[in-house]
Amino acid sequence: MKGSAPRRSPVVFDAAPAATEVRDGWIVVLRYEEEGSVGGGPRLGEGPRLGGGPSLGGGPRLVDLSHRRRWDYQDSDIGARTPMDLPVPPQFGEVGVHGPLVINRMNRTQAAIWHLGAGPSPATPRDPALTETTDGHCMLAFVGPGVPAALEHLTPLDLFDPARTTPFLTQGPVLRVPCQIVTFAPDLVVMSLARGYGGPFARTALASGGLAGLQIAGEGVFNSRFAQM
Amino acid sequence: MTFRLTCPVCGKRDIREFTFGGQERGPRPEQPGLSAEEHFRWVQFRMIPGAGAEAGAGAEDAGAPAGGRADTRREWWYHGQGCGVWFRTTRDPMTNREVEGGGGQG
Amino acid sequence: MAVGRVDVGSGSPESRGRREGSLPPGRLTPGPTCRVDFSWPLAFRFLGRSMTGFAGDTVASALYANGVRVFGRSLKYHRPRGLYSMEGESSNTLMEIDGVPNECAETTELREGMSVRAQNVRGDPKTDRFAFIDAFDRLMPAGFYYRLFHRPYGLWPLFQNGLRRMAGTGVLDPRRELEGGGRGRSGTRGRAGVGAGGGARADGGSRANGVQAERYLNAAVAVIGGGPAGMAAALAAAESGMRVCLFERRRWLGGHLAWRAREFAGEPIHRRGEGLAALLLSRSRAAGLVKVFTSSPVTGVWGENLVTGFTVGGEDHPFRECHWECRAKVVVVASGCMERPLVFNHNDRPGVMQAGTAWRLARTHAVSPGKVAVFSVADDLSLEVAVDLADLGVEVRAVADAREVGRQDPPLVAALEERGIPLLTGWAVSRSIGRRWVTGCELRAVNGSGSRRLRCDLLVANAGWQPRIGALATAGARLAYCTHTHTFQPAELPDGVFTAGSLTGLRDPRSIEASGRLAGSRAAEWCSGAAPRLATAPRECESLPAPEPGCDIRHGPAIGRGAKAFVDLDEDGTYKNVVESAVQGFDVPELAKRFGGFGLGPGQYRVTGQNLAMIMADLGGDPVEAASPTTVRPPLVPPSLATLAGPGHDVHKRTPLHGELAARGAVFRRAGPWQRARYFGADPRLAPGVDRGSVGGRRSGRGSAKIGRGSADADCGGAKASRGSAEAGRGSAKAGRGLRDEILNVRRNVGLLDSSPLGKFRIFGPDALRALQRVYISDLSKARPGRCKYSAMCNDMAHVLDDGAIIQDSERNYYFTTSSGRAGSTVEWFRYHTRHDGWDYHLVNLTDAFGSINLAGPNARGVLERVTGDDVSNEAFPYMGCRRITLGGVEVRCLRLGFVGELSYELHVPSSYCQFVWGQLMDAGADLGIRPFGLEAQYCLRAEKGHVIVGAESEARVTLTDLGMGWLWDREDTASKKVGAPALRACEKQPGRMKLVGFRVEEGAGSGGPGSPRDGALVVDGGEIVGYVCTTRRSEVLGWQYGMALVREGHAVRGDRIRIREDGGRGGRATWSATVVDPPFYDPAGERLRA
Repeated sequence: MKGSAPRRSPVVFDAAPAATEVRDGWIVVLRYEEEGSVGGGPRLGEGPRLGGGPSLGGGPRLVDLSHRRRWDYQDSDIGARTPMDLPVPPQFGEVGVHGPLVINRMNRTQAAIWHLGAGPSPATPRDPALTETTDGHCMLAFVGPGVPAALEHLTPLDLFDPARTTPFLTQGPVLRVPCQIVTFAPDLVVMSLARGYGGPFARTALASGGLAGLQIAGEGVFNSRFAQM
Repeated sequence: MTFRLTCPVCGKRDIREFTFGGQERGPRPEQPGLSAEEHFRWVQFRMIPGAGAEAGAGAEDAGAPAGGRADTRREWWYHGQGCGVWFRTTRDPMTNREVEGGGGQG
Repeated sequence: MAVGRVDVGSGSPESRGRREGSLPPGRLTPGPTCRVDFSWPLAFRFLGRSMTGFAGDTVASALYANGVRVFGRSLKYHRPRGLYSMEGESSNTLMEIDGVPNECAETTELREGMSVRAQNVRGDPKTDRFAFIDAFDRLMPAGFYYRLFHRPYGLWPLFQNGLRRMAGTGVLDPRRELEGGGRGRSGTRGRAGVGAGGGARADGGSRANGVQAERYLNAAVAVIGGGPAGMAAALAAAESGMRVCLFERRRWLGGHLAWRAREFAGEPIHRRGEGLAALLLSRSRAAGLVKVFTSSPVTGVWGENLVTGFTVGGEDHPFRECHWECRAKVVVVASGCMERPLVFNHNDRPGVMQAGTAWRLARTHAVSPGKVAVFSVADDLSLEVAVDLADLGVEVRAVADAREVGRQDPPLVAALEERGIPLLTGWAVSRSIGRRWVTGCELRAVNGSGSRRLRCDLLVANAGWQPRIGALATAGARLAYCTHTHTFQPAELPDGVFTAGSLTGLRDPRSIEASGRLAGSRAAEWCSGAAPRLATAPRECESLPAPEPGCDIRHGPAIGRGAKAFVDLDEDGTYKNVVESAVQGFDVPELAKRFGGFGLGPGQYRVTGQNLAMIMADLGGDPVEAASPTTVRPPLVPPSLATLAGPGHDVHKRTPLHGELAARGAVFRRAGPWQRARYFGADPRLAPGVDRGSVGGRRSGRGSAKIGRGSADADCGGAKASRGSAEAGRGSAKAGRGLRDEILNVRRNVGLLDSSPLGKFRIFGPDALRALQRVYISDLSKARPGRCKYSAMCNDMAHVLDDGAIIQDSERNYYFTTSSGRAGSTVEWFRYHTRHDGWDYHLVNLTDAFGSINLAGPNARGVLERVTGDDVSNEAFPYMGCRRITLGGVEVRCLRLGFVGELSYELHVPSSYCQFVWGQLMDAGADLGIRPFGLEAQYCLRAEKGHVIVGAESEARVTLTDLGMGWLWDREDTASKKVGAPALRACEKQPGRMKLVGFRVEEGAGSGGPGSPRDGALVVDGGEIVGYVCTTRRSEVLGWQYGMALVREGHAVRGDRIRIREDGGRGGRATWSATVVDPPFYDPAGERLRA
């Protein structure tokens, strides 16, 4: 019954979708019109790129993943637990990728689980330490060449520290909003933040990141990149 | 003016990510038999670096530096923009640098 | 990656290949280092006159080429000022460009269509009407601003205004908006890589937001300076695999090599720079490890090597200026040198300039600096300038060198001799001659014997070189006078800061480059802890020429004697003023700086710093090594205020219902991070500012509206937060129908409030209850499933911080709400107050996970019954109950609370379903009169009910018991060590505390007036102020004006008559009478919320 009621993402792009899909009540945009054409892609934060970088059309893309399910897991003995059958990474900031699921070790007692892979998302197991937080967050992916340059306009955090091995988690401010950020690769970064910030955050990210060519894209761009993980 | 702190979870981060939680003053006192004066001393009185003691009172605070020199302080900080952890660190207020081994106690 | 425009080479061969006959007036034949493209003319206007410059010109070089010699007038004396420097070292050439004041003409690139005006002049700078002031300098000795014109004191404002009108620099137009990068009219001129961007911006599409930008960089090594040393350092560090950022303030790399055409070690010197730059840029493109920023001056180096600065956007940038911050492990400072000005009589006259200025006019911009030149210098590089200018066709009549015989570089001496230029060693210029510009000068021997007068139209003067110490000084280096180089040199460097290049006194190009390589490899070593790869660098440095001795000349011969000799051009600080300062006791540079204003102008320390210190040491009879520099402060180069303000983005929070509310005409306001709906139906009479007029034009209550249970920022320190007033609420009670209708509809039918910012949390774990017991003041062991337990949080001073409902979901598992203003700090608060306990509990912030819809009014149940199959009858779901109900297929948590004093249900709906649920409720309630209401209505509704809002009826002096809410306190519990309990115990019996009381304003002629009292009005007893009004409104339902006030205990007992007073305002003092009554004013028995 729950699936029948429509759900809304906090992020709505001002662009015409070319392909959509209804998933668990969410209308998921797989592709926007003009996406992928040379120099194209729907633009909000319009502006030429700075300096070198990839050719037009292949620049950094912003994808809304707010519809992907997420969970918070907290336990004082978290290292010994396997929430949703996932081993909790031992180090703070470590990220485990297990097929479609990603688990981020946040601190001594806390981990976040994200469903990022294709296919139906798993149900929430009956585990009191687990809280579904899908509706609490906005989740955005930055995909494609030029992502580091785009993010330089948004955050002072060092999301591409060569001393760290990918994937890794960074918890800190992006556009002064506290975020959980996972760097999978220089061309794939996913972040989650409080849902209320979602709309204005995405708009600002496009305006500022637009200085480095950031444009919006549908979920398809993310799916094909994450599948290579 | 800017400096960084070492979060035990996230590592070195810009000061703007943290909130200050005051100097370490020990755990909350037991309440039965707690006089108002004792309570307010615990709440309000701060050790002043260089004063050699907490202001206006005898040098009863353990770790108060001797002599009239600014000294390091044990402080609480909250990584509110990051992992959400309270931690203690030892900082030199003259340089705003953490003292060797001062950071990272959850 | 290269950021900023990088010109590696120079102008195209075609542009240089012109025959001399076709040269534009004032121009020289372009040489190999010329950056001006004569094939690309740019038209601009100066004081309404049309002029032509060329691509590659700065505003200053173009003006100079067009024969402009007087660029502006000086601050105090209105003396004519000309082109003295090329890097913005003085304020001589601050001009108004395209309506923006105080733009530096020396560093601003010329663009098509620019309009340039001089500043601090009336009319043309050549014939300024205030020029006579120069003769009245006796009225303006050092520190005159502090000493004169102050007596009688009443006249000072008059003088002050007059002085300010005559002095100062540009005038800012506060209404002016920055246009698309300030380049909107500039067409699409561009160099390499200028694409459609320029055209796209010309439509002004990127107003405001796109104009300024921010960028954050992380690097192992930050290199300040893109000269040979900086580039070598960057290359060396990158070779070790380090991430490197290099910042160069000029448009091109190469430093001072960039305009030197002399042969050195077999090739022209500028080629060395070009070679390094090409190598660096190829590295940056290939590996991505090196980022090169040109047109990017550094504003400061901060704690732990945070380097800040800004990039000036060119045609190929989407921004006007981009502020950046670079967090680096190591900083290599290779900021180079500038000339130390020679202080001599009339040294500010247009036509007097730095050697580098004359050189760069000729070599970089192909502008003839003058026809007949005299040099008074003190170093070899300036001798090279004299030779070079002579080769370019300038008649160099004489070169005075303040150094003694034998200190000069022999090949240069020979070159001067070859060209028949007399070299006067041990001589310097004593004064310039001329009226508005230089027509001659007088040279004298430094020791005073003999003098010569020469005619010239260009007087090149300096006292040798001084390092650009700004970045070093802000980084925290301790500087001391070096008696070898006669400059300030770092005596002590902070951790992770290295120096390189001519800054350290090196002059030989090979030494400079090698010092950069050494610094770069040391920097890499410092970062990685590994041995440097370039182990040969130290030995290489040792084998090359060391720093050369400098010149210690303090000022020109025969200084003073009735003529002005300027130590500081910006603030018109003369040698005489320095003497005056010293005589009056301000005899160290830091004091003189404040008293006489030396170095306080836009040029800061650059022109003034070292000379002031040396002269001061001299005046005090101290040895020159006692000279101490004044403190250098950021910004080293001024960015525009708009750049510091940033792009102006406002990243705020929106509720899941924002769109629905907006569609209903909601008027939003900011409450903490959230945009919230104040009221609906954008009635202009209700707009802020307008409604003030409706209450008689008097000043409205202090502070902003603090609204709703979700009042923002209402922490314990909230004296600022208290005394707020819901302004529109007041106004509308008289003027507007919209708000009144919203209120009445809740009382009569049913209303819908979006209260999503309400804090919502889950707490679970074995010690969850202990944590709740610690921070909440009540006994929360009584929290039960299906029941809302109301409680409050206090701080250690017993001030109320927050209130909310706590519900036990299951064993060791609770759900609770906080006011929206506290939602952001609740987790922090819990963890802080349990930080020593090591308890095992966990908090999940669900504030954003659930929207909150408050369905309130007598028809609320009727609406709910239509959308859910669950039993919501009063029996099954009583007041203060909590149920999970399914609504249109969506499971929601429903709390039956009564904040607004009616039957109401607070629905906590998963955020993604909020719009759907809102729609269901609106449809179901259409015939029951449902309509949304906003925060203003809620504010009034709850006040009628006497419900307190933290921050509106409480403040930093008010405890729980003062508010009459002591019943919440579980006074038996000492084991939990409740936060606030000891203070409550201490304050409970304290006499003379402020207590919250309710009152009813008396009506009729006897009460007072005019109008009615407002929030913030005083409560007086006789002549004594005993309290103030927190909230007061006229109730539509009750038909009278009620309010709540904080009054000192004993002055307002129930039934008393109190006086309320408002002071000031247009109506003067007004008073009203009121009767003290107990809240709640509306439905005192609470029947309606239990209905």
